[in-house]
Amino acid sequence: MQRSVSIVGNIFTENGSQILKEKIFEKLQISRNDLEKNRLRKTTDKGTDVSIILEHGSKLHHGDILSHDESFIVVYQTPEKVITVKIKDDSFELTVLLGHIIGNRHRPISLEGRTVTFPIQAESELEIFQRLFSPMIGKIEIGIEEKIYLPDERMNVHEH
Amino acid sequence: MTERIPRLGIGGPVGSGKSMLIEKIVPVLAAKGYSISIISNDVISKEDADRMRKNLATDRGLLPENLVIGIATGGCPHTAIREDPSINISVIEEIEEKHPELDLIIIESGGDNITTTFSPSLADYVIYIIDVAGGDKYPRKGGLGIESCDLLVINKIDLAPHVGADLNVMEQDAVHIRKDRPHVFVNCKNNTGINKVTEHIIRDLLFDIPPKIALSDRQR
Repeated sequence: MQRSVSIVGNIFTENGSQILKEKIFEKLQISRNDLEKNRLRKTTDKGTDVSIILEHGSKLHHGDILSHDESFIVVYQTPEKVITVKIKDDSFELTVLLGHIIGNRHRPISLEGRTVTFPIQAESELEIFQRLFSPMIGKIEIGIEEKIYLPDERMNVHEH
Repeated sequence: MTERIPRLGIGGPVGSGKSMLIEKIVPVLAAKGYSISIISNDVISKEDADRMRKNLATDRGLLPENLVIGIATGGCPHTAIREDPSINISVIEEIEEKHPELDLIIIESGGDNITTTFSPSLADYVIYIIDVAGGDKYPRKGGLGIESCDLLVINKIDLAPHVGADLNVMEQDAVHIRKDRPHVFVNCKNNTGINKVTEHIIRDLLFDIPPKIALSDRQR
């Protein structure tokens, strides 16, 4: 049976953890791309058919708690492959070049300290980025991880 | 909550059959009572919009002529559906204001390659269409369009024996690369797979909700 649900909290907030206290809940795995949508029909890990319609401008987030009557569903974002680039020095030129190269690929980014992270579709992309970054390769550390990727909201473009 | 009219994005390379697919699914949806508007993006021409208007509106009366709209983007059509979809959104908002009775808005756009996607602010559900004549390697090449769309349509399956394409290979690759996401083999010329496509639209985009205006009321 199809169920319409609404967002009632997020498990990463104090209020959210209270909502789920001692409650049984189902899990809904959603890709980052689908989290951006206002309208979505998905199936939970227990097979519940869920339809979601959000206000224009709002979106789902990792950890959101969805409710229908007395039952709860928690949204889990699907992990994805990302490239991390750690800058070893404070060069202005290096930082601008790096931003230019990543921006030209229309990737969203997230920043943490001296590390910039952006999503890729396949590990084969590492080779092309190593080539693109070759002028600065000695000044950066580059690697691949698989993680729940949360882009910086200010730099969340739609990549291609 | 103000609920916007569900929006279906249809993207794919030039010649893959986007307009033809629309010309096939609209009659099926209209027969079930759904009211539809179509927006067609192209670089400088409005040829596809004109053709769909003639075939679906003028000749068959399945929707009003003014609800088939052509947009000449002037640049890459995929930009107008992804990076800066403001032209499309403004047209859609005007349609929504004037025609709240609509059940579905279809936005068609060609893309330069297999990475074409729609901005989530523009489309709620995305069909990416490729055709068999591109070779049976097409699905496994991946790319955002093929991997991330809600429904992959593989069109022109009747051409497979003529171009040496193995549909079993395309089937296996589509399953592998798209994981749990669906795909449908289609031949628009003889309607193979068209009902399956409309079933996906009704279930996954329209949530099985009946048309706003029942067909019986419309026919009175």
